[in-house]
Amino acid sequence: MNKSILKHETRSMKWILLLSILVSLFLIIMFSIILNEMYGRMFVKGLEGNTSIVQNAFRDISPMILILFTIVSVIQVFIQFRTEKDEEIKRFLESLPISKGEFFKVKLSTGIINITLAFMILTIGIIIVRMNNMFWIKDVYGISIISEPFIKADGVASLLKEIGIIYLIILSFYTFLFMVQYTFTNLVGGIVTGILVWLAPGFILYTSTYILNEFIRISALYDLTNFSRWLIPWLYAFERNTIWIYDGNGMVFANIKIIENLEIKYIISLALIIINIIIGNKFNKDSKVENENMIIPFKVIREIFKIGVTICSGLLVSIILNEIIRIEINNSIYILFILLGGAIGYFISKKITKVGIR
Amino acid sequence: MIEVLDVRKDFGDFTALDDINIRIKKGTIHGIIGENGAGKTTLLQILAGIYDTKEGKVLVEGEEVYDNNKVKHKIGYVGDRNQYFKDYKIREIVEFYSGIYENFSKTDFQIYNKIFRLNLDKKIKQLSKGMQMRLSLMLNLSIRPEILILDEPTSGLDAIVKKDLLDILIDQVHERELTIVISSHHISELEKICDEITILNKGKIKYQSNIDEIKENVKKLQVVFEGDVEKEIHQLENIIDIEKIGSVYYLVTDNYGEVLIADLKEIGAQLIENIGITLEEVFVYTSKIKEGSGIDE
Repeated sequence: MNKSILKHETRSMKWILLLSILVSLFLIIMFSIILNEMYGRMFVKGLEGNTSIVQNAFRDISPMILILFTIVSVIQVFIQFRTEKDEEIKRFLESLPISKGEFFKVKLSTGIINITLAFMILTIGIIIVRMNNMFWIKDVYGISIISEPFIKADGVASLLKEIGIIYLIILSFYTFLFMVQYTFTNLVGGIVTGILVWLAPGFILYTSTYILNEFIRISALYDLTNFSRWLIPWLYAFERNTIWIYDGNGMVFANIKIIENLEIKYIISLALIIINIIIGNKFNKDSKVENENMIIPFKVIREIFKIGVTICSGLLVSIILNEIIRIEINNSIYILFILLGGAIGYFISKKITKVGIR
Repeated sequence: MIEVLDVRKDFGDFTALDDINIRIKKGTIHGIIGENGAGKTTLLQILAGIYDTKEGKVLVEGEEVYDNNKVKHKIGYVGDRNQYFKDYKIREIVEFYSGIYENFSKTDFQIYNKIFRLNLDKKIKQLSKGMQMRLSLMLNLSIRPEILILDEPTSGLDAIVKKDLLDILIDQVHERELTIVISSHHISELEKICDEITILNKGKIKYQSNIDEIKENVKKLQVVFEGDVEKEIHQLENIIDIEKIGSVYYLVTDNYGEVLIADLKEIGAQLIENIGITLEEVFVYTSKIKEGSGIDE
């Protein structure tokens, strides 16, 4: 690793590192406040057993972790690519005897390390807060009919698993935005498009099966609509299975909500990270300074962009008609509106992809 | 040795360079002259390995430049606009360079800074265009390159610094056999330091020669004829410009010799006087060829 490039990258990362640490500390404080509130409530309402306290508290802050670190990822990508998007800087960097791969490697490593550091601080903080609260949580286990499931759900291993999936979701989102920067020459345009494309597969599958369901009602379509949740990794941390807990008489007396299909979600997130890095590296190697005027330098991406925008525009019109305006119209007119939406999307995307092509 | 072989460069439908062939010997200074938009900067950026070529190749000691870090280590590039990281202080960009180029010498940088006089604690964004040019020159000289590519290096420099720079360049060529490729709009400066020049016009080589050959072949003649020779004079070969002031013709030729003298005498020349020509005039006249050579009166 070239020390000048490493120093340059870490230099731009110092503020985002500070922000990430502040976010982690904020989340630890929030976790602590939630547990303290539960502890305080105990004095008012009395000791209430048969519940997983730590897990419930973590479930309250997990959307915050996801949202805040998504924002951190966006800011991080912005800061990392801010200077390199300048035409003259690109030429300057290209004239240096450093390979594009080296720049890519250093930039990506510093980005991943920053997010990892922030999550390490968050994890350590949450474990410490949990430890500090165990003195009263143990009392709760003591009055529970069956305490083992709650002890397990509140254990460090369970916490690590839940933090782990959020960490991987954030990394897959970050590496995706990182990859998109090598396919878009405009920094903000790349970030905005990246976020939309991140959501697009889920939106396309959900909306298209939903529309088809209006015409042909078969159960396979319902399954496909459900499957669309797999295409939006942000949802991975929130979809939970309820595990019912029975007493000695076979009667349900409590439940624990755990993230379902955690192993598959880990595998998908990891695969996404690897795919994003491989594609990003490929586009980085193929990029040329002379194409810097084009908003999307690669032909294959221009075509995907046009197709994607066309499909999404058509589907967006259908959702507006169905869910927002809610008007009863003839099927043929409905299809015509969808086609019109698609045509407008195609026209706009074509204009965008032509920017900078001489 | 730098070899530019059949290079063509397109930007979409626009051809910036076409059929470019140049051979630059080690330890020489090669000037690139051309109007705005002639393709000078594109050519220099290809030589520096910034742009790839559509056709042809650029070789340095037999190795391609583009995407070749080994070759790029030997090349210093000073662009017409030198944009470094704006938030860096000068001493930080010096550190950056020293980590990138294995031959970078901080001692050399300090020596050059005695001439170019920059405050090392100033940020890049605080520097004027001329100061940025000074910085770029100092940095790229301090990497001790084998090849130095300079795109309008004197723009923004004051007269004293300009002279110092040209002296440094000549010294480096003599001391280290540095090869310099330089473009400038100040052709008189190039005339003083260049061994060879290439004139570009609309992406093609218009004229290519060494300075001595140019001075030998390209001449401006003051000629007085006996009668009216307006028709005959146009039929002469190797005349690239004709100007008539009163009864005196001023002819510019790119192939001066006995044959031309004999041809002029044959159509009635009574007085032929060589009045000398500068490189700047050569550039102007060779550029005028495309516009047709009517008589300017």
